[in-house]
Amino acid sequence: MTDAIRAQRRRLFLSEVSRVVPGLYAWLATVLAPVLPRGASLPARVFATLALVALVGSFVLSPQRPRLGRILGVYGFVACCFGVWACLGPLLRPDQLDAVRGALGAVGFLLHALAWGKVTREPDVDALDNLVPGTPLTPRHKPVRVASLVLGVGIAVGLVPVALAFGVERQSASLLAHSAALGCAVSLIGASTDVALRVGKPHQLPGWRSRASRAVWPLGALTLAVGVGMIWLALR
Amino acid sequence: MARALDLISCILVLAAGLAFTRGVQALGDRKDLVAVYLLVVGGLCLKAATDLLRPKAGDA
Repeated sequence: MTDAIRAQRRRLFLSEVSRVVPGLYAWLATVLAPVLPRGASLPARVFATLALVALVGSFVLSPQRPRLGRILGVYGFVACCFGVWACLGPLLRPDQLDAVRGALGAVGFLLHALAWGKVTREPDVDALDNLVPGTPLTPRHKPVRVASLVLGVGIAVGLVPVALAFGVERQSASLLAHSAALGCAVSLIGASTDVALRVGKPHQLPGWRSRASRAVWPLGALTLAVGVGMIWLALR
Repeated sequence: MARALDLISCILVLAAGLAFTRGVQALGDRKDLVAVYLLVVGGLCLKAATDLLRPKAGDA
């Protein structure tokens, strides 16, 4: 199997994952959150489980049976979500709902719809050997294995504030917490992507002095901020 | 030395994640000033981490 085929298969796998993630987020925010508290009926819990099963099933079946995967991911998942909301009854009253969570869940469903709007492309193995006519283009350098680790850890760490923002119960700070956590997550994932792309890259020029001198100002500001924090802690 | 800088930038990204996490937690605990402080520290950590990896203009 050539590198091109492997890379194409990896891209297809990632596109399948990115198709399921918005639905999973929407399910967490708008289905699991209202079903978890006491008082949710058994049918609501069953529908919630079925919705998750449909989503996971669509992810598993899409590569081999794209039509069935699409039916499960679009119709099965959405129908089960509707089933949950229909069975929740008084738990769906406006005073029982978190507006921010609902809005973020709606964005999740929007992204879910957009993700499923794209037609699945079957991998054409014959065409994969050389997608671009001419001499195969070689990358400047191969990403090292630790880069994937850095990126994975960055994504995992970036999602922690987003999850913790759901624990902010104060209404006046809830929206701020969610927006701050979202900004933090985007910044963290962006920075970890930057780090992952450069870690392990053969270092030629510039040398470490040039790199360190560029970071002098943010490092100085960071040292100052930590120093002020320490003084603050000592004075309290 | 270049590898050490790579390691420092990775540690700074992790420190930023920790600062952001504690900042969001502080928002939930009604410690708004602490939250703002930690979010600023996290932002500075990220800035330092990415600047450590970028050469000066004209050096590359």
